[in-house]
Amino acid sequence: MLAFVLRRIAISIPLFFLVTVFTFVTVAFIPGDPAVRILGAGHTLAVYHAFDLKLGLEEPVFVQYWHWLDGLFHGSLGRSLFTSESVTTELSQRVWVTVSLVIGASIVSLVVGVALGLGSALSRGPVARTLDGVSWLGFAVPNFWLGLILVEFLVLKAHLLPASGYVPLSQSPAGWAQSLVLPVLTLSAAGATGVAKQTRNAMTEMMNREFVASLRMAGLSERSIVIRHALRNAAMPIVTMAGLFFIAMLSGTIVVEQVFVLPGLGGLAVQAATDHDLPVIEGVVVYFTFVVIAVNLLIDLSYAWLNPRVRVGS
Amino acid sequence: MSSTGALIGVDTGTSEARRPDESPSRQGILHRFVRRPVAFASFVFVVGIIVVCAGARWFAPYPPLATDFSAILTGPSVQHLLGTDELGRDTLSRLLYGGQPMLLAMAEATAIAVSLGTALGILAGYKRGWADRILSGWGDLLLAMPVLVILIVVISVFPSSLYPTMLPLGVLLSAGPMRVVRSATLGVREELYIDAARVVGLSHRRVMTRHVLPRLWGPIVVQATLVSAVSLVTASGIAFLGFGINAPAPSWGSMVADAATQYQRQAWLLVPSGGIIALMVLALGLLGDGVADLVDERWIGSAVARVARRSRRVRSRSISGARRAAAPAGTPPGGDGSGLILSARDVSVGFGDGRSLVTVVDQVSFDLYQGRTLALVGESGCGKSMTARAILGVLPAGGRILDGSIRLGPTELIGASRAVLGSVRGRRIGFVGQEPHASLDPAQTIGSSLREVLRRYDRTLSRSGAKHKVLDHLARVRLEDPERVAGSFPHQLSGGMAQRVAIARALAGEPEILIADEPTTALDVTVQAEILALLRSLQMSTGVAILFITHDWGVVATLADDVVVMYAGQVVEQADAASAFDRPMHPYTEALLASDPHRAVAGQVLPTIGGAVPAPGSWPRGCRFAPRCRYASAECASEPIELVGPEQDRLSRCIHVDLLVSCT
Repeated sequence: MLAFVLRRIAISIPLFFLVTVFTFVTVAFIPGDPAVRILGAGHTLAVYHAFDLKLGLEEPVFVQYWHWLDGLFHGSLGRSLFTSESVTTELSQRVWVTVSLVIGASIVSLVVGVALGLGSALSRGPVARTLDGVSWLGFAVPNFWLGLILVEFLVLKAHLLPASGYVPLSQSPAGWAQSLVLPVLTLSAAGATGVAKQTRNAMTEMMNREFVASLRMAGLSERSIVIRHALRNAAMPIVTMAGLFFIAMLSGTIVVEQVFVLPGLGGLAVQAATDHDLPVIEGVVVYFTFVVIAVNLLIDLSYAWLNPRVRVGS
Repeated sequence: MSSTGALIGVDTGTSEARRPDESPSRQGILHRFVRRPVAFASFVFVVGIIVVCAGARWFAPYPPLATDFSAILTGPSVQHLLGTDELGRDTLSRLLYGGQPMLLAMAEATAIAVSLGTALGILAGYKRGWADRILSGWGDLLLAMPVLVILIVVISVFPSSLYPTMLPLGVLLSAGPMRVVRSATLGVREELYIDAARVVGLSHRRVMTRHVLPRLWGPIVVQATLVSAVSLVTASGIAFLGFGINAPAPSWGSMVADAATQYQRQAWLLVPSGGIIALMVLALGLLGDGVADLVDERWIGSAVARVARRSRRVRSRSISGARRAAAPAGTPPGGDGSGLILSARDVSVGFGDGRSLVTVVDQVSFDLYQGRTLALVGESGCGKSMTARAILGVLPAGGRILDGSIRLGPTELIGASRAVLGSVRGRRIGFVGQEPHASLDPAQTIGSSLREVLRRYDRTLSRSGAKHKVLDHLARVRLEDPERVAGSFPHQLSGGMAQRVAIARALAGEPEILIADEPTTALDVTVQAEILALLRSLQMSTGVAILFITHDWGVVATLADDVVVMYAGQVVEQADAASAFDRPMHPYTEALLASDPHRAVAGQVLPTIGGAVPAPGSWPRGCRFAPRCRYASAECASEPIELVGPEQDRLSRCIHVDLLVSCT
């Protein structure tokens, strides 16, 4: 079990380096001199040069990367080229918005998806077909558009919820929850339908397995066969799917935060991309990568919990 | 936005699991494709949109940037079919022109993802070994990346063009096609002719490109549609965020963003811009789904269709000549009829519905007596297992009991309520299957699975009481160290141990009947003997009646009191075990006995029965064994043969019994 966990952690190390090196190398291709862009035109060469020196932009990419790694190990991601604020401070303020959004959407996806998928696996005919239709819609409707439509109908027409903007949890828990309802719904639509489909497939397969027939012939109740046996064994592919959607939702937050004007990491990423603000872009990448690694690890641990073969070996 | 990306490579249906078959007849596929209205309509829609967008210059009613301040935010009208925006620009025209960058970006990412994924997938599946491990790790890595974050990095370098961003997107999305192509390649690779090509001396590259690649087109097309759908959503999301497109040039994504700024004044604008993206993605998804079905159908569909067609013929015939065999002799081999526990009469089991109905068990009758063992004998596919499962009312998906009666004492089991069946299963009739591991829940310890059934059978049983009883039951099937077994998962047990566990579970409810469906077939010979001895001694101590399904005459000799021989869904002979061995009264029984390895004579070739059991749905009209029978004459094939009793306590479905008996 410990060996299993260590192996999984070892796999996340190349992920981290791949992503951060990619970022550095790509960013090194940015055409033009960042100093000119940031300070504006009309300064003397000496001023630009001093600026480059201060930020270490003169050095080769791999040296910059080394300095950056060194800083990372000391808990520093540098300072924003524009606001001069510490990147870690800026990100730490925003990361919770994004994380609560994604966790909320994951829970909704899982609960709604598993319920829908179970329902459709166990009932044939119209329910299953309706679910198929709904899951295609979840697949097809782009979330930025879905968000706008939800705003149009639920906020502007029906006045059920506040339009946009974020209320910090510390300010008003109820307001915080309200401000997250629509973004979470928007973000979870694709996940819920995807999880539902996966649940349906996995459950249909499980219900046809020999051990389910054996349990039936042993006289167990259908409910306990479905919940205790089939669903438990179907959980692995469902969790895998949920994990993939979780990662996809991290991407999704970038768009959804724009639509609902939430002060999360996504908005910062878009702003930094517009400004060519390298330290911030790199910081965002690090944060997202860490979240992804943590989630992958959690999923792997849940495998071990769900599948005795992973846990105890043969 | 790219949350749909998670679908790729994971939920693409069964296409990856199956092996592509021999020669794809392209014409037949096109034909079947046209007959799938949803997939075909999707295909027409996708191609149509691509054509009108590519030819926007000719199809669009207005130039994309032409403003008309007399018609601002009009909504749909005759002049402007899809309305106008805040500058009076025609939405339809902008939609057509705006499709160009979106579809080009989509094509770029798809081309990269599919070609890269296919190449690496074939490499991994074909080379296997370390190449496979490295590439699988690479695929896992790609799937774990937050796509849009990576793209944002590229966008920050190339903010004004969509196309550079599509390169990393294509690479990230290649993980899905790679996985699917890899597993499909593994399947193709196993086939002999690839080996043959290698032996002939073709280079690896040649084998991969000439022989493997052409067989993978189905899964690749499915993946291509999914990747296109995801890249389209992603590209439009990037445009929505304000990157990659230089205003005022239109694009679907930026039109949604523009509409968002106007929806207080004209909400309609949201409809065409977002709608076209959704419709396009939907069409691509449905197209992929349709192709996946089509690819599957090619592998299994034709066979199903054939069986269905045949069964239709057979069915109509059997209805027209509805001559039900007379009820089997009421004098069962048990003698006086006392101790009768279960009595099955004319049980028929079928799969499918209406016109596609296929009968697999045809009017089978037998009786079970206390303390006796009835062996149900026959080759694979003759309906033994379905008969056994019909007793408990647990048939595989699609199967159902068509007719007949199964009485357990006064209780009729066919058509019984869920509650009645629940009280019979496990408590009055236990079941042991062929594959001991497959019959146990892989995620449950042995102790937990036995506790579960014990507490189900006896609701007053306490937790600790159940724990003790579990150990008793495990000891009863002579498992050493029951404590350790109780704490084990099925995969930690050997086949013999797992089968003992399965027997313990089947007997946990102290049933009157034990159905054993080839319980020793999957086991080693020595273990087989142990399991048979165990069953025998358990029968002695409990008096349980055993219905033993087997094709092994050695097992029949060891265990059975009575024998029912089945062929092609029917009972062909019934006798007590000794008589069946001495004087078989059906040519099939005789042939089975002759080909039994236990009776092989040293130095002589073991006789076999030529031909194979006809598949359900293609049973001959007359005697079903006639095509393989050495006594067969013309009359055998003309009419269905009745099950008759040539002697006391014997039944045979043969008109040449006399000839047969005189020959032996």
